[in-house]
Amino acid sequence: MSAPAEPSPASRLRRRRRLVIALRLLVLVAILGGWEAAIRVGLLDPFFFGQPSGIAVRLYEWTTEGTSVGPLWLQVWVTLYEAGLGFLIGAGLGIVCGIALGRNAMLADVFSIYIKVGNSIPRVVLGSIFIVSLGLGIWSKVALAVVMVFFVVFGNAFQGVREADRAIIANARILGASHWQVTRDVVIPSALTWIIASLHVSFGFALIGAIVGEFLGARKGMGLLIATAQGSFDANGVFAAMILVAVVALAAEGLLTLAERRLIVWRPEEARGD
Amino acid sequence: MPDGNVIAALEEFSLDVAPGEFCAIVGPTGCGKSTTLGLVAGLARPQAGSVELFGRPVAGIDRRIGFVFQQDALFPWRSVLGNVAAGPRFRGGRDADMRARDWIARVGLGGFERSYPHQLSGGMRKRVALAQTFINQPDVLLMDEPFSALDVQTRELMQEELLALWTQNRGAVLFVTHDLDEAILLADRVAVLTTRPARVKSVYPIHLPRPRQVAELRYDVRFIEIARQLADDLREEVMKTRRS
Repeated sequence: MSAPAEPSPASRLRRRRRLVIALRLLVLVAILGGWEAAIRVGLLDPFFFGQPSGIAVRLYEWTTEGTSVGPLWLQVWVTLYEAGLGFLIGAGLGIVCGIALGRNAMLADVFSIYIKVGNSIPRVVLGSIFIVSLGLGIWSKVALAVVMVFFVVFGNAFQGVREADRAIIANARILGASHWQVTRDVVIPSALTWIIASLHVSFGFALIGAIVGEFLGARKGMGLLIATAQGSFDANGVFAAMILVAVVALAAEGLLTLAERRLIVWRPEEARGD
Repeated sequence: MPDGNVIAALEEFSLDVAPGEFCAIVGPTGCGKSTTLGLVAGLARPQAGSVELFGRPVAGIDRRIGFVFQQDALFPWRSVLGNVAAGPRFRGGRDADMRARDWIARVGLGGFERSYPHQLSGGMRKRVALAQTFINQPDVLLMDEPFSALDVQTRELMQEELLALWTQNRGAVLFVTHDLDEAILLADRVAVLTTRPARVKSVYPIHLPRPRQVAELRYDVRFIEIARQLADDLREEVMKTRRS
């Protein structure tokens, strides 16, 4: 008889992973089950707190019959459109301004004070101005998303430019690079790590901008869906919309990670990790 | 200086380097050797006084200059080929890639054209840096402790590599190092600097025959004699730094 075989490290790892998944499911079931049970025995009032089964029903109704403000896919699409457009414009502006100010001391000295002031204003307040000046259509939401994204990306692009390796810049200059060539061939590639990191975070901000904008006043969108549900004291509706937003945000996050991996292919310092 | 303190790194610093001459500068750490090279390269401006190159005051970066840095200054996002071809590409020269391939072969890195710097060893990266600099055929080559980060064996190989490349190119070389042996092995003249403010304490001509085999020369009696004399001089300087 041989001694009982030691489990191989691979199988031990697999077993641990399975345990983690099982525990995660257990937590989910405990929370949802506890919530539902508390409603059923009368501990919580479903009018104020909603209930998981009600939320599921509301989501089902929305997908099959449409929402009170129109078909569900349209609300999701409008919000995504606003957030995506705001993200592209805000990120583009942030990158260009960050690099320009990072590379030009005069520009930085002149504008840094305004950027600081702009950054200190709570962005959500700007939503009211945008609704007044740009109306209830998509542009007031796009503008809010742009503002949300801009400062994050700008800050990172600016910092990335400032962190560019002095020795590499000196080397490029000696090798014959002009100011513009240094910017294009040294500063931008080395700032890219910073910029990409900021893009990842800032799509979430764009989504917040779009939804808050819709919340303040809109004809379509997930923000409007939440506001409408709130207005009719429909707790299940608010939770259902929340879940939708979470799903959309997670999907966008996944897409961005994929895009990032594509970019990483030519980034040697990251490729090393593979 | 960020804190507003100004340190006179150089004072009455005077050193002439003839065309085609290999001149090494040795001095205690922090005496302003790197500052000197930065001034000659045009990377920094002197607060007072002037640096002359080819008989004219330095105003910006001269195209006839090459600079090999102490740290790794390769472009990490470019392949070996892209790194070596950078100079000709920046300068708008034609067939940059063809010339780059030639120089990569000359420093013994043929086959590594598509590798990225992080995939190479320290010695190989230095070879890329040498090819990157020599491809511009500089008349004046400034080197700031280029081999100080390498292990002893690699350093010796790189010193021979440098001498071989220099023999083909024959520009003037200003080689800063804190390694006295390295200075003597490579240079025609060795200038020993004083502590801050840096002055040229003395200049030693090195009458060792060329071409030199670095590995063998190390054990040559003539080399040892010169090394001892210079070491004594340098020790005096180091002791002065300690006392102040």
